[in-house]
Amino acid sequence: MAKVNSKKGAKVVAPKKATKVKKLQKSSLIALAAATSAPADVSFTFNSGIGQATTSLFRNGILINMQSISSSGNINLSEVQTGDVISINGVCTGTVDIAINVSTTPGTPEHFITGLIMAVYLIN
Amino acid sequence: MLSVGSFAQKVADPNPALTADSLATGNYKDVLNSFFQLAFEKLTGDDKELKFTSTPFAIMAKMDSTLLIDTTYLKYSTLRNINFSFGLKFDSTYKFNGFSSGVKYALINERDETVKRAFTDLVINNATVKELFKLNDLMAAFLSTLAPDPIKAAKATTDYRAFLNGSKNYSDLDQSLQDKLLELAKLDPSTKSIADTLASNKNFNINQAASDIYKRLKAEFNNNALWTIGLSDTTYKDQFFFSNVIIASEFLKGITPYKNKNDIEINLKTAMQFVDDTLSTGRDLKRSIFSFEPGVNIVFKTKERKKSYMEFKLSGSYYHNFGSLYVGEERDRITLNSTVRIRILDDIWIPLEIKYDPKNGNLLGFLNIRANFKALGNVAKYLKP
Repeated sequence: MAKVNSKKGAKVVAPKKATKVKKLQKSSLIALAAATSAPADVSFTFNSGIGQATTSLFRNGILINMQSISSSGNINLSEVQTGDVISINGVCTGTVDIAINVSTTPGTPEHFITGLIMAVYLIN
Repeated sequence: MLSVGSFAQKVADPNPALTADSLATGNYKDVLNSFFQLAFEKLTGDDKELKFTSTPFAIMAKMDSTLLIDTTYLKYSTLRNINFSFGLKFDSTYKFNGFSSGVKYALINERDETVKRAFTDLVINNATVKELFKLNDLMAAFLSTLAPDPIKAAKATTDYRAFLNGSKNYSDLDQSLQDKLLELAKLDPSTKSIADTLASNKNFNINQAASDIYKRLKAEFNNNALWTIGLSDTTYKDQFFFSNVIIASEFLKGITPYKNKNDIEINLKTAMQFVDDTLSTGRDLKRSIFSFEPGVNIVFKTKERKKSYMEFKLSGSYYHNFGSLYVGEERDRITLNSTVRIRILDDIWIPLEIKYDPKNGNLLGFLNIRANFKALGNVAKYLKP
């Protein structure tokens, strides 16, 4: 309801409707660490030849983390939660063994032969 | 449509994926071997030979498999470019006729994709490979949205992984997963080719498609230059003294694009041979013969999987004798040569060599069997009933 200015002659202007700001919830932040978050290591061991791979972490359809590796070693994902999915894309000229140190579906370690590497792992 | 060869309307190939060794041409493996080769040479001739060829690295790796890890593997490129061989020679009645040995080094080896970053970059930047990787990421993102229903998420992930590893074709997936794959591929413009393929080919096998792309790129890379130099020798059967020493150099390079049905390689060989001069008493190496052999190797491949099954090598040889001439022998000689190689198993080739002297009308033939294998134990699997 418009306020009426008591002073004579003053123009009355209806106030603009205040924009309702949605209160930021914890669940709005996809990448927020939850009580059930834990770090995870994805290890690559390339044998009989070089290789390279990119690891991506998805949560609720959003890309959270992406890292690449071009020789044997580990990729560290600081926060993974149940229901997250790790995708791995790459190539190995020999063979590669991939291991994730948290429980996944399918389980690891997994062995890939010469060629393209394409895999997804669901965090249990 | 994905231009990756004809995998349309086919179920997943029940045979294991072709290995790097099985894709190499027989001629390439004869020039430089990557692990082990056992050869029975000139089976029908008077000078038979049982020869074993390997690299120092292969022997070391057999004793210590940690050498195969890439960070260490890269440090031993030089040792992998060395081939050494030793053999037993037999006469026409299979009686022992001396030892043979040899060493060869690859001065230029642009074919070894296992150590070339240029090759992995070539693969990663291939347009079709990028599409496959993009689709994989889109599916991973979708699977992560199933988190509120863990059982559904696990089932969909397992089903999709079966699709990725080739045990399921597109049509074998749950209908909901098929629909989701197609929907995701259509949504993103960068996966248009895959979307078209999924829409038109229900038996699409992504693992087969990925394997075909990799093999094609590797075969193209294996057309690069290879240049070796080597030394080989033979001893007498009754004395450990050299009866024959050869210093040789060989150059190999593919000259046709891999997309052609058949490959053509140029093959240049030159050698200096020192043998015993029988005109002089005693044993020596005074007779020296220079040879130059330019040739082409035609590789016949299967239509769909581009795997070589037969090779035909045609070459000419020029010989010049620097030493004393025997009766009826000429200072210079030319022959026409051909070698037909037939692959009878993935790692076993049978080369049949024929030499023809156009001046004298003489024809010589040699039958060999060469088996390339990464582990001696692989031979056993071929012998199993």
